[in-house]
Amino acid sequence: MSTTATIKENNIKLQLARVFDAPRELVFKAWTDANQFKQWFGRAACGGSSLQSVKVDARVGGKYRIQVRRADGEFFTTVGVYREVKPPERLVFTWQFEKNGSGEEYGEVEPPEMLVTLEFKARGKQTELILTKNLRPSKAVTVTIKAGAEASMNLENSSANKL
Amino acid sequence: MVKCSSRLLDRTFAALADPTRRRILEQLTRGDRCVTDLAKPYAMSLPAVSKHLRVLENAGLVRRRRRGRVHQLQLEAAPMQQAQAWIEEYRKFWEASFDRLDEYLKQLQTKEKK
Repeated sequence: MSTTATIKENNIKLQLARVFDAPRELVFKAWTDANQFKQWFGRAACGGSSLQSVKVDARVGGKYRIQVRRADGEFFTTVGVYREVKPPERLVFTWQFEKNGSGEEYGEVEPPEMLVTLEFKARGKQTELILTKNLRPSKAVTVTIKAGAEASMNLENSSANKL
Repeated sequence: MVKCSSRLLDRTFAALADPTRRRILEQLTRGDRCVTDLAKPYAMSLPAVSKHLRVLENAGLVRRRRRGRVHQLQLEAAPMQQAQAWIEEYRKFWEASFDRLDEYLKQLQTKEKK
């Protein structure tokens, strides 16, 4: 398992990779089949929270909604639109929060819009899943913050030449 | 909470979007500087540097202290730490989700074999 996090120009990118002991068709389906998805997703969200409802329409342009109610009663509802659905190798969707989130149907969302990219790679009978989460996707790599470092920054001055 | 901290980051990112401002921050990681020190490497006018400094101050990344006529600039670590906190929250969230997925896939395959 590996995790990297970078802060880019106007963007934070988080990347996680994990190998699962299952063929990728199965892993992909666990994300895109509503009945399967709700068996595992969101339940890990936070201690004392409960999964209220899950909607999944895994087609390009289709939407999903994961409604979690925290122990203190606040709703923590994630919604998004599927941008790419390529079984069994690639799944891309947006990630946003609803302002209120307590309703039964899709509600008003608030910025920022994030983008989640899932890549499913066959590793024999196993599957390596690489998750990339972008907060406001952009291109130029600029600032890298190493996890744990206090205020120190590594500046990759690729854009400094343009000064 | 993930939801709140990501909201606070908007100004931090806007301030970081400019290469000159990132260079200024990099200089400040090596210690406090006054405005004229910061202007030197860029052959920039003082008003131009001051403009960048205001953006950094508004984002809470830099603090200004006045010593008579000299303005001393200091790096403020908190917003960068918020950025790290955002990463950390999501890292935990997704790793916990992956744990659940791993468990689920194991259960699913055991059932199928039976």
